[in-house]
Amino acid sequence: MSTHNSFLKRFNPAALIIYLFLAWFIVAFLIYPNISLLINTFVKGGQVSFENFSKLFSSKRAMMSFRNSFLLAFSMVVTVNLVGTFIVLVTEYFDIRGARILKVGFMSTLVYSGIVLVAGYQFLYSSNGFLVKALSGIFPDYKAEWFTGYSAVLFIMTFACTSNHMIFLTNAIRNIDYGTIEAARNMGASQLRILRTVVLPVLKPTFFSVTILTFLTGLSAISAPIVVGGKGFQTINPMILQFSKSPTSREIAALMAIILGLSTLILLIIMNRVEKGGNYISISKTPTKILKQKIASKPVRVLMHAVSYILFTVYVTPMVLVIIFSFTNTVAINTVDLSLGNFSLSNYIMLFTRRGALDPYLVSIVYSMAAAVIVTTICLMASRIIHKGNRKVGTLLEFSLLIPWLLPATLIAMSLILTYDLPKPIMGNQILVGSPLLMLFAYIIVSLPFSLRMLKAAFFSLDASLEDAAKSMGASRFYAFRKVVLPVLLPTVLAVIVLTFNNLLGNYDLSVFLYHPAYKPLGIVIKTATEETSIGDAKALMFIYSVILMIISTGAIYFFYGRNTEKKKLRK
Amino acid sequence: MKKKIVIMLVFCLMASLALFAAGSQEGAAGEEGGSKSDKLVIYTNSGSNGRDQWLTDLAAENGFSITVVEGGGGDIFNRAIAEKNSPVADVVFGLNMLNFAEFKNQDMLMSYTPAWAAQVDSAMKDADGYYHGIVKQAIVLVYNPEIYSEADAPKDWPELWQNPAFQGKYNIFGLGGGTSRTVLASIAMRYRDDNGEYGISAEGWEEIKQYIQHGYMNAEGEDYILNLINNKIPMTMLWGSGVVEKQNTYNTTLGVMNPEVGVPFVVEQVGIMAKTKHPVAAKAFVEWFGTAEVQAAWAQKFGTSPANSEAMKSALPDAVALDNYLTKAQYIDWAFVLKYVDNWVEKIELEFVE
Repeated sequence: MSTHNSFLKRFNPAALIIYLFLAWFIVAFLIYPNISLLINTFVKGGQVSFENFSKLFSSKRAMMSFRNSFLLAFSMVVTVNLVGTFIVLVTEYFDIRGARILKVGFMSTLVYSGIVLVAGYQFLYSSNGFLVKALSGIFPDYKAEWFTGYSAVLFIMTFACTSNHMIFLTNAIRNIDYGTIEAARNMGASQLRILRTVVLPVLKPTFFSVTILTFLTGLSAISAPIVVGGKGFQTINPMILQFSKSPTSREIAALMAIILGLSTLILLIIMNRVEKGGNYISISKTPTKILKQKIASKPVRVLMHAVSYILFTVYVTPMVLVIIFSFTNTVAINTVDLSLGNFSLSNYIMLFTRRGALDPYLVSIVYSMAAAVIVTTICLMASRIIHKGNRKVGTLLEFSLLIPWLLPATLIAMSLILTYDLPKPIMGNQILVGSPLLMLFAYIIVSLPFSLRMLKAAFFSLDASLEDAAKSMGASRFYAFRKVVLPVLLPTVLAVIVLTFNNLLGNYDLSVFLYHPAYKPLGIVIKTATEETSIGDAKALMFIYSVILMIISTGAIYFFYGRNTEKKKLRK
Repeated sequence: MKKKIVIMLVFCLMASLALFAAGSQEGAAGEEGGSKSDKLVIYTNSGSNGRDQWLTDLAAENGFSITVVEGGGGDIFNRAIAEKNSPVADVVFGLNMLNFAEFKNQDMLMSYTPAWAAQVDSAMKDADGYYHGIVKQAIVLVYNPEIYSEADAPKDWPELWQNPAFQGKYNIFGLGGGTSRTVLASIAMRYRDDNGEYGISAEGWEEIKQYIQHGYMNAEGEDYILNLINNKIPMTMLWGSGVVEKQNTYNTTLGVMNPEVGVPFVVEQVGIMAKTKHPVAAKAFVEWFGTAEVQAAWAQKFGTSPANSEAMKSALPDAVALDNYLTKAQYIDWAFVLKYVDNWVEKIELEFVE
């Protein structure tokens, strides 16, 4: 009882409301639906069945796919960190010519996610693709099949997954105290040494987060393996996705997802231990803009320039090709035929002049933006508790909010429908099926883990003395948070909002189960229009929608992020 | 910056409120029975590329107020099943007999026989009147006629893996899709054995294993018609309206296999949800939607082959020609297929696919 009292005493009413809200939210949306789905799946007629374990473990293909998924995830941790760190260093830290243009190229993956990425890479790298065509024109005995399997998947995934580095590592590097760098140089430290002992340690919390995200992205890769993996390199998630769509095989899908989830969990626990081992970060309290370092050795300088521009080409080519070919038709795309006669605006015109054509854009923008802002708000509260509050509560909170990582989207959607299709007290006896809010909730749920992970990292790289100073000068807790903590976190908060928004914009997997008849989102229109069996110019439409999604995403980045960073520069 | 955040928060609040308000309105409108002009929600997997708009407009001209919910076939099916306690849909169309048979199994459908059902062959509708065929789709093997003359080409599915000349030369679609599953059903029917694993004899499983392992499975986005034309993989499975469409798109001719046992047909159905709050409107809509006039108009606009024999007469010439060529339908016991198909696919994916 006494602990209970002291527990209450430490919190003000506002905090209590936040705790209660988070507790309700977690139980109602993360625990209750998913647990009941899993029970439904595994317990048949009061008995738990183990038949599927043997089915799964005796399948050579499934075991190979698991192995490949892990192989990919571990490989990506290395390659993505290498490439990601390199591109951030050459755009933010070293003095490289044309850094601004390079930066635009490297940032292209931000607007280039999901289906856009698949369309672009398929077109460029598949066995009938642009690259094969171009190369076989130069080398007549060129083999089309080289770009498949492990190396091809790793190549694509490496360049597709550096967005987080580009955003969060950039934010972190800008916070480095330039005074320390100068001091080190004055004491005669070499460039490499400064990089290793001054710059990289500051980036540590961010490295943790992006490494975890990269690992998980690798583990759950779908598009790249099915496009270029071939027979030789299949991964587990495409199988999970397919099985989760068949009522009979849902059990195996859930089982596979749980195995993946448990390994993820183990990784997270290890990473959390390591992370707690100490992050004493010195970020600049006096804003001296970091000066770009000129690379001293000439050969290194030339090499760095060369590598930068090669990477730039790799990043930009798929996007440029998608834009160019979006003005042609399906046959021209499939045969990579650039003749002038194939170009026309007719598909664009058709898409925009159809009655009601603009509604799905509006629906998706409103839903994605609302979800992005709400999820970021929730995760801000949660990160704050994880960072400052009771340790046990924090850990519980963190792992609860990461639950959506463990389950495929189809199962999350199913669990919501199956739980809230009848009145349940926890939802105030409101039936959610058929309500426009259901899809919003689902969007929020799936965005939680990413958002939490990045915001938590931002909190951990925060200098506690800033807030303490404010409080010792008499600022209230909330005031100190709003006036001191939030402004420092703002770049990360905005980045999380934008990335979440971009991720949700073309969502299909959740939407198709949950959308309200009156509000059809963009992802549905895109998917059904570009499906193999659909009538019409499927591939060409895919390219056009890709271009449109890129435009909207770019707009979002500019609105939230571009203008903000520019203003900050001006102030300095 | 603060302003921007306030704007965002207000925006979100308003969006949530708007969504909530819309939701409660929807709930209030539902009334038992109702009239023909009630708002209907229609689920379909045939709504893309303006088909939903076309239907909504035509329905409105005829006094119906409909909203179309569309998505991939498997997804719409799963959604309808998951929502069975409080269905959003009033009417579902476009899904195949397998899907509708499952709806019927789960007591989700209302029995209703529209007048036009008499014009639909009895093999293409439910005997108890729970669902009725609207569009039929032959599932065939097509080949590159420059590689195989009609005499050299395979005559039936088992030849593909039994004749070494065809091994590795045919394309199989992903087993999640209706076309690939129908071919599987067509093969499985020949080895039916009620004592066998999932209703198939041991010999049958060996044959299916050969079928899968000697086939080529196209990667997502890989153009199998181009593969066929370039002689990389000169044969592929295809659905009927696809034959017509691909010939036009690629300006080529495809050879079509016409097995002696007949070709399997996938028939898209229409049915009414048992728990609909608008039975009067739903019945009136189905009564109108399946008529020869509407189905013929749909067929002319979108190149389909109507199940309604009257409407079939005025389909596009290419579709009529194909229909006249593929005269014999293979007998498939859909109840048998429905019972096991998911298990078959699971077994194949886990054990046979390499």
